[in-house]
Amino acid sequence: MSEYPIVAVIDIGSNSIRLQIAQSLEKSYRIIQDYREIFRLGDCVFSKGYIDEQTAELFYKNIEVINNLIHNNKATIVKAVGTAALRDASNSKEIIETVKQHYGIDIEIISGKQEAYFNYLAVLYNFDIKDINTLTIDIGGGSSEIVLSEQGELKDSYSTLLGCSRLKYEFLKKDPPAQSEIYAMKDFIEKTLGNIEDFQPDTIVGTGGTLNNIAAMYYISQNKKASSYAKYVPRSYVKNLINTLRRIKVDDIKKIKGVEEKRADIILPACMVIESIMSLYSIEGFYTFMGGLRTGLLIDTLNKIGLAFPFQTLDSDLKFSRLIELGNKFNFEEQHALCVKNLSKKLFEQLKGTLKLKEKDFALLEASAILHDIGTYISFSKHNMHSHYLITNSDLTGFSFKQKNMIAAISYFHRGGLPNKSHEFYQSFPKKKQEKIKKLASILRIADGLDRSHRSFVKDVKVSIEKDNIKIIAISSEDTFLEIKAANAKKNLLEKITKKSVSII
Amino acid sequence: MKNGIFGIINVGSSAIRMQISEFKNSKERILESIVTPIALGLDTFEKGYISLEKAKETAQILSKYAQKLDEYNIWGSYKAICTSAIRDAQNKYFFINYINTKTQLDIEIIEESQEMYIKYLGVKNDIRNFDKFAQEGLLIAYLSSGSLSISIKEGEVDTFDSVFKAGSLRQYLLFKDIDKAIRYKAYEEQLGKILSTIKQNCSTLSSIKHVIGCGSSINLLIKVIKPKTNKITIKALNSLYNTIKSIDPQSISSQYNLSPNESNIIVPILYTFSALLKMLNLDGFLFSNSSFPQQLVNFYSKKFKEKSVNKKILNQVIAYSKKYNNDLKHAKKVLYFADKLYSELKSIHSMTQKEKMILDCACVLHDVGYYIGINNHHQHSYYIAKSINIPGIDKEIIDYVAASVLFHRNKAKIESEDELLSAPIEKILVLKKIIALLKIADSLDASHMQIIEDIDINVSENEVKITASALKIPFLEELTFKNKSVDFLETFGITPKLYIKLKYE
Repeated sequence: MSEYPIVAVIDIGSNSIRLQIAQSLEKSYRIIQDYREIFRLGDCVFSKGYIDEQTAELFYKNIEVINNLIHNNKATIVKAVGTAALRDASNSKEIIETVKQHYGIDIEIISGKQEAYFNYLAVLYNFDIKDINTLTIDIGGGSSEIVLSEQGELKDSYSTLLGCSRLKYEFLKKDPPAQSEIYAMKDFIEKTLGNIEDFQPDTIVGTGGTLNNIAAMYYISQNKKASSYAKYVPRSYVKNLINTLRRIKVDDIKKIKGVEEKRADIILPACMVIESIMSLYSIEGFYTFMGGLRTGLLIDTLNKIGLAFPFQTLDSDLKFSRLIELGNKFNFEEQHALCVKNLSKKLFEQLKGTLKLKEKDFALLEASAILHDIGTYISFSKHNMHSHYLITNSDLTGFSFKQKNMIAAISYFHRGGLPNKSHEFYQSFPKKKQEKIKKLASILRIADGLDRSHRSFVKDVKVSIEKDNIKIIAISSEDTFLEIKAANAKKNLLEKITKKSVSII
Repeated sequence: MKNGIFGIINVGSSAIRMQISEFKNSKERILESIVTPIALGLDTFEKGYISLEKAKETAQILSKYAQKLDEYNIWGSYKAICTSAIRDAQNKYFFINYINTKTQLDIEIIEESQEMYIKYLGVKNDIRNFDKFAQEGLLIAYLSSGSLSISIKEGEVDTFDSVFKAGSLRQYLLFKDIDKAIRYKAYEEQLGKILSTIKQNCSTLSSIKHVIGCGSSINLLIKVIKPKTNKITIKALNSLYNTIKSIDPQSISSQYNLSPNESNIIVPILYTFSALLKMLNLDGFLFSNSSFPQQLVNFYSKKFKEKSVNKKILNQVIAYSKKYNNDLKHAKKVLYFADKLYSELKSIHSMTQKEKMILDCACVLHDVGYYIGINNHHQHSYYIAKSINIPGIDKEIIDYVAASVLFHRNKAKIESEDELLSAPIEKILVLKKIIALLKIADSLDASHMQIIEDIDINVSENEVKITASALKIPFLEELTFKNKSVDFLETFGITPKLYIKLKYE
C-alpha cells in the first residue's frame, strides 16, 4: 500500500481553515485525517483590508496544529491554497513568507477561476452530470465561484463577490437586520447574478461550509440522516428559513437545531444567495455535498502525480467510485475486491445464458463483489452477516432502496450456509427476487473462492457447459491449490441452482 | 486461593487432557497429569460434525477420567471444557449431551475470546518481563491443532485480536490430498492470506518488537529444534523447514522420531512461526510451554489474579471505539459524569462494581454507531457493541453493554423489545439503573461541546440536585436533561433537578 503517497491539502478560506490528509490508492483515496477550524480570517480582512497582528498570531497557531497533523500522518505531498481573504489582504505576502519560513509550507493564492475549477472537479467526482446542464456554486466567506457546465463539459466560470461574510459586513449591520438592509443586500445579489450569461441549468449544486450547514439543518428538521454525503434541499425550506432568520437575533439563530454556532451570522446571506439563484432559474431545490474545494484540490493534486480516477477515465462510472469509497471507509482490501469483481464479470458473461440472467443484473453482482468483505471491519467471524448490516445501513448512490437490500443479501451469501427459511431478510423478498439473489450469489461464491489467497493469482476463467455438468477452468501462471480448493468448496449453490455437477480445475 | 484439590479436563482437537492439582497455602502440586490422544479435530475440521464412533470413544476415555474425580472426591471442584474441535462441530450439543449421559461430566464450550484470555493470562504469568514486552510492542501467537490466534498488544491495550481457523491439524487436513512434494506451497499461500488480513487491519505492525509463541505446537517445536533457551530463532525454523518441507511425512517421522500425526503437522507449524517473524522483521520468538490444562487450572482455581481488571477492560473498550471515529472528548466527559453520579448516588442505586463497569463501557460506546450512519445511530451502536470480541470480556457483560447502548436514546424503549420482556425482572432492573444514569450523564454533554465543565450532586431526603458549572448557558443540555431524566424518575422514583451555575457570573 505504501507505494501510493499520503497527500495533505490545506484550504485557507475566509471562514475556515481545513486540512485533509488522504492515503491515495489505486483508483481512489481514503481520507485519514479531516481537520477543520472555523477561523474567520475574512472578518479581519473584509473590515480592515489587511490581517492584523492578533489575527496573524491565531493564524500561525492554526498552521502549527496543521503542520503537526501533517507530520504525524507522514504526508509526503503537501498542497496549500488560499482564497478570497488572502487574495484581498494587503499584507498576505508577508504572512505567506512567515509560514514558509517557520513551517516550510508553501501557500499558493489561487484565483477565483481556479477555485471554481477545483469545485467543479469535486462535483464531477460526486455527481453524475454527464447528461445534464449544471450550475455549480461554491459560497465561501469572501467570494462565490460559479461554474456552468453543459453535458458535463465546463463552459464558463465566474468569481463573484457574493461571499457570505463579505455580504454580512457590507450590509447587515443591525441585529436583527433592518428591513432596508435586507433589501439592499438582495438588490446587490441580484445585480451580481445578472452578469452571468444566458444559461438554463437542469440542476444546481452548491458547496461550501455554510450551504452544507443549511442542508444539515434541513435534514435534522426532517429527521433525516444529516451525515449522508450528498444532500438535497428544497427551495421551500430555504424560503421559510429566510423568513425566520431575518427577524431574529444572531443569538437566537444559534439555538436553532443544527446551526453551527460560529456560522450563525452568515447563514442568512448564504440562504439569500442560493435562493436568488434558484429563483433566477426557476429551480425548486439544490444539491450539496461535503468538502467541495478540498475534494477538488485533492483530486487535482493526485492527478498531478499521475493518478487518475474512474470518473476521469473513459468508462467513468459514478456508482463504481462510490462503491470503492464505501469499501475504503470500512478498510476493505481493494485488490481482492476488484479481482473478485473481474472474475464475477467473466463468470457472469459465460453463465448468464444458463442462469437466465439479464445483462443489467450484473450491476448488483458488481456492487456485491466490491463490498462483500466490508463486514470484516466489525469482526472476522460472521463477517458476511456484518457486511449485510453495513450495506443495508449505508448510502449507496445510484441504487434504489430495494436494490441496496439485494446487494446486501447477495453479499451475505458469499460464504456460509445457503439461503433457507431461517434467513428472515431473505424470505422478505418476493420469489423472483429470491431467485435472482441466489443466482448472483452462486457466481460470487465461486469468484471469491478463486481469489482465496487475496493475491489475484487467477486472471481469467473459461466455462464450458454441458448437459449434466459445468466445467470452470481457472487460468493462472501461478500455483493455485488454495484457489481451486476454495472455489470447489463454494460451488454448492451453483450446483443446486443448475442441477448440474460443477467442477473447477 | 483456597486450599484443596482441583481438577481440570480439556477436550481438545488432538487429545483429551486432565490435570489434578493440590493447592496448599497458594502452592500448587500437580498430582496427576494425563493425556489421551484422540483426533476429534479430524472429524470436525473435515466433515463438520463428530461421528458417533468418535463420541463413543470420547465417552470411554472420559469415563476413566470421571473415575479420577471419584478417586480424589472432587466432583464438586472440577471444570471440564472443550475448544474448537467441539465448538465448530455442527452436532456439538448432541455430543455434550451424549457425554453427559454416559459419564455425568458437565462439559462447557468456552468462547473463543475466553479461550484467548485464559491463554493470555497463562503466557503473561509464564514469561518474565511480559509487561515490558507488551509496553514495547508485542505479538502473541497461539498455535494449536484447531486454530491460530493472534493478539497484538501495545501497553495494556490490544490493538488486534483475531482467531483464524488455521491450526496446524486444520491446515494439514485442508491440503492433505495435494502432492506432498509441493504441499508446503499451499501452506504458504494460506498463511499469506492470513498475514495480509493482519496487515490490512493492524496499523501498528511496524512497532512490534517481540513475539511470544505458545499453544500445543510449541512442545513439538521444542522436540525437533531443541532450543537451549526459551527462544527459537527464525534461522532454526527456516533451516528445518527447508530441509523437510518436501519430504514425505513417513520419513520425517522416522528421522525425527515423531508420531504420524506430529509428522503431518510439523511443516505448517514451522512455516507459521517463520512467516510471522519474517513479516515483523524479527530474528526469533520467545515461547511459553505452559500447557493449556495448566493454564486452565490456574484460571479456574483463581490463581491468576489480574490487577484492576475493570480498568483494563475499560481501556480496551476505549481503544476499540477509536476505530469507529468515536468522539472521545464526549465519551470521556460522559464517563466522568457517570462516575460522579455513581459515587454520589450510591445510597439510592445500590449498584455493584460489575454493573458500574457495564455503565462505563456503555458511556464509551453509546455513540459509536454514528460511524455507520446518523439515522438510528443507537441501533448501530448496539450492533457494534454486540459484535465485540475482546478477550477477557464475557458475553453476558457484552449483552448488558449492548442493551444499555441501545436504550440510551428516548427513541428506544425496553417495553417495546420482545426479547427483553421475557428476561428476568432482576436483569431488567439492572439494565434500567444503568440506563437511567447513562442518559443523565449523556444529556449533560448533549452538545458534545463540553459546555458543562463539572457537576456537584447533592442528595437530600426528597431531592437529587445536580449543580452544573458551565462556561455559557447550555441550552441543549438543559433541554435534553429534562427529556432524558424521565428514566431516572421511572427507575428510582425521584426527579433529579439540574441547576446551572455560570462560571464567570
